[in-house]
Amino acid sequence: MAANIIVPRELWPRRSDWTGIVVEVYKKEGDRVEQGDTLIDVEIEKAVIAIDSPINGIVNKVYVSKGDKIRPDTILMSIREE
Amino acid sequence: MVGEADNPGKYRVHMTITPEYIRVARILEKHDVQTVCEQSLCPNITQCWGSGTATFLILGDICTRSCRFCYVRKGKPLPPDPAEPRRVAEAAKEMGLDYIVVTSVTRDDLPDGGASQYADTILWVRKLLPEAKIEVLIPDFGGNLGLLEKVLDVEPNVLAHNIETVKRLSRTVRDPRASYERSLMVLRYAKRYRRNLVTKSSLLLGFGEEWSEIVEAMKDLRNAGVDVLVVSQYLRPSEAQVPVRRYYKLEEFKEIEKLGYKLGFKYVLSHPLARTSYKAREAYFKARNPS
Repeated sequence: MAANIIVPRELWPRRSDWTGIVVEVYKKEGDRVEQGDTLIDVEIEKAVIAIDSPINGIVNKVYVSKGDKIRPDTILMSIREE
Repeated sequence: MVGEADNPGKYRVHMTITPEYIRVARILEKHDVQTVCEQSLCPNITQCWGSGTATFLILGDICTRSCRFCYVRKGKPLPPDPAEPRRVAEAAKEMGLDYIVVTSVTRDDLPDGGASQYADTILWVRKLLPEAKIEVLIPDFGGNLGLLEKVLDVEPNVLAHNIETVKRLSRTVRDPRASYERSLMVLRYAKRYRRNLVTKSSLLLGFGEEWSEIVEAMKDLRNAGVDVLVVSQYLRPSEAQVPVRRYYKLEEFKEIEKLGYKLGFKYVLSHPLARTSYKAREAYFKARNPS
């Protein structure tokens, strides 16, 4: 089953007006990922946020690339859970 | 502490949403209480909420002042909600907190500056959590000492008020209604009014201050009787705020920490990602029982 990795809305839940820029994509389609591996770095004004994988699996699809603007709920990747 | 703080530049933080984080988020939402963790886009949020704690923000989420470093929304706030103090206490109880930190937006629009909302919140917390310690991070109440006394009279354990920046930059970085001298006066008065009170203040670095000005601010805070000093890196929340003029190195924060202890502070938290309420419980107990 494939799970979408999204920019979590739960981060600063009642300030969901923030945006960021993808500054690094660490995994490509077909890569194996372990829970806790960093998938993508997103830069916001205050910091660079490392978005880590919540599951083990194989990257099915990458929806964003370096330089893309993202916001809460943006779909970043889908991972086929193993 | 999260982040790779020895990197002079933006800090990289792993923000993992854990079940404990979700539990805290749900309790806050259920009781409809605001946090400064959210309103300031604090990069420590997953660490703090993930360990079951949060800093409550009372008196709404709109500030009447326009400090140029702050992300909290500015404008005309709603009238205070008389049920808010009780909701904060109920949320704190459900979270299982034994150390509660409460701050607010600045309410220059209210005749009492929000002092009675602070007092009511402290009283409600005492009622529902009689053993808990309470820390308040207050505005300057326009320098009105009677309003400050209103808060002090209900006996918070810690009174924090932030000086934010060095003397020279206070006018440009903070709202013109705030002042360096007034903030020092608030801290000095609080300590004199209640000797057993722990007082605390924060200094943000990165606005273009000189090292000598940092030292001067630290000395001024110590002379005002401040017990706990927090020094951290200013991180611009969005393009609407003043830019970061300099990122300080971890060694420089360590040097400030050493100097802080030399000046006589009971506890010094000096780290790029430290914030006034960060590890507040630990700071309180260390200030009470310095090693």
